[in-house]
Amino acid sequence: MLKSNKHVFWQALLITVLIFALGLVFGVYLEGIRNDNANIIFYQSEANLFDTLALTYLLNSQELSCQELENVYVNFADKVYEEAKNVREFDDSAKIISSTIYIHKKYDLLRTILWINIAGVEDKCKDINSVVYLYEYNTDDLNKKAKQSVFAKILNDLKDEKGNSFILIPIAVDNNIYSLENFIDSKDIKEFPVVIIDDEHYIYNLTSVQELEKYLK
Amino acid sequence: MVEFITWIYLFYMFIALYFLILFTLTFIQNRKEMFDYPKLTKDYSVSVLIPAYNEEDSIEGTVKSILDLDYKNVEEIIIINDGSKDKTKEIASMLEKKYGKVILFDKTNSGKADSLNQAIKLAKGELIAVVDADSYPSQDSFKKMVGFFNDVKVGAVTTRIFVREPKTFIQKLQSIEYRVIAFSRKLLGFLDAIYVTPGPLAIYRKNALEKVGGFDTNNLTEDIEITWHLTFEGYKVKMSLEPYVTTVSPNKFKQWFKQRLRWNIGGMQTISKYKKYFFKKGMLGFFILPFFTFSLLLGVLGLGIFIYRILRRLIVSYLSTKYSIESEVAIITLQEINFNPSILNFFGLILMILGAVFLLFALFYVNKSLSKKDAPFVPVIFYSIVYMTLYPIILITSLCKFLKGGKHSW
Repeated sequence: MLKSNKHVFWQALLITVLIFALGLVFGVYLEGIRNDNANIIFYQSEANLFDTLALTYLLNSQELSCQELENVYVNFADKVYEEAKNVREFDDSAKIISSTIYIHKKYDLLRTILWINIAGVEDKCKDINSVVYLYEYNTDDLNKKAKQSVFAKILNDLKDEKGNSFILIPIAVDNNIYSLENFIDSKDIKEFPVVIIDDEHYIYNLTSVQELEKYLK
Repeated sequence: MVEFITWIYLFYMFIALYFLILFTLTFIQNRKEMFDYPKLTKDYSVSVLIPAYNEEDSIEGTVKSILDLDYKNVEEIIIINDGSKDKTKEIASMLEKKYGKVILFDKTNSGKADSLNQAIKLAKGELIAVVDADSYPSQDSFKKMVGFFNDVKVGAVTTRIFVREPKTFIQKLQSIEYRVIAFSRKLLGFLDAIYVTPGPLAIYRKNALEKVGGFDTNNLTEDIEITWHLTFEGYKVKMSLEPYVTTVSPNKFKQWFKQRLRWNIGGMQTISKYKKYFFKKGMLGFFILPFFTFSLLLGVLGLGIFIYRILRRLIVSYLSTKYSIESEVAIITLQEINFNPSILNFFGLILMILGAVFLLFALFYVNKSLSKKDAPFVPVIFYSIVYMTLYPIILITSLCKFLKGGKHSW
């Protein structure tokens, strides 16, 4: 009886490994589903971006007004903003497979293209209001983390108040996007987080929603 | 890439799951023998030793509970008065005069272990029963414990401990705890991995005690040390689940905390003494020692990680609140709450449910043989939460005191 009782240690180990492996497989499957969903949403946004870019070319042919273009930009930026928020949640919950990080990166890339594109048409459409928020996605600096969370709330409140009157583009700067890095370098920005309003005003310190409103045209 | 912290969480979950499955399998494989006890083939003579220090309130009750036993061959009841400052000596003297089997062994104070060692030399029985002076063995206890000594390899036998008339909240929590411990100790008994023969009632083979040189006078938990020593020498330690002994438990939080510190420091002293036998010497080196040591290390590490992460969150929350107030925005928004549980949340929840089921089953099972069943559901859940929260604090305090060294008091 004693000898057979000792086998229970190995039996328990075997069952534990089995259950644990099944749990991990289930975890990978579950996170995979979330990943696939995020990817599908992303592909839709990607198509929307190309549509938006194509519209920009029409600006030269006089068939499209700056106001119409701004509306398209705003809608697109808002859509991406909401989607990216969901991806961020998926990303925070992804523990075993980490591919949502790449989806997050792709969203940042979309927004970088949007930002560069808006900068390109600002000469022609001077009334377009853009608010670009540059932050660090992976920072260990607790003060910066807190500051970024408050900046996000301020911008969210600003968006709630001013609605479609400006294009909000939050972009994480630490996702190794070379075009973004170059664009930031060209603007000589060294410190994050920063809020850039209409490519003119660089706000590094936390401020109230009312103060930010003053910078908008 | 999977984060380091995720690996740690997964490791903890694996260990928890392993022990849950180990205990469940052990129960399934031995469920028919849980309350079994070997029939008496010989009337072993038993000397009962009652170490007593300031036990005027309970000593008479303890002696009477032993005199009431249905085991006939109790050779003697030796009350060891360890220099009590109250009326323990007078009461013991009165009992000695009244009952022929009672012997008073009066000595100057030298601690429980030394008192027992001195009394072992005087004892005439083949078996030595150690009974705390505030504990009352059930009438059938000896009869249902002594049979285990038919196996010559058995060096000690222990039994269930119940809290006598739990009144305060802390006593009720301990009452639940003792019942769960009884269940898991029985399961460990099937694996020859019992790591303590607690003071309220344990019976030892006298020549086994003599072989190991008696109780360790330098250890705060002589009952843990003697069990490890007996296992080290190749003796088996068994648990008889059918009988029981009732004892008093601390009724105030401070006393309870102090008692737990003593248990943990004693455990650490024992680990330190036997550390060179890691993965040597049978169940002691391959299970008891690693089980004890890793529980300690994992507890400390877990608490460290928990504190680190909580502190970080608190700092971020504080700064975020401060900045939010300065910037006139909401302190907390719905957006900051993540409604997507991670797979670790699922695993954790499943483990918690399985743990709770095990706990409730253990209570139900231990209660099954009792007429009075006092382990209601709410205190059980509360006990689990309170105990799990406080245990790491006790662990850290014990570790600090142990590492600091010096003489630890009772």
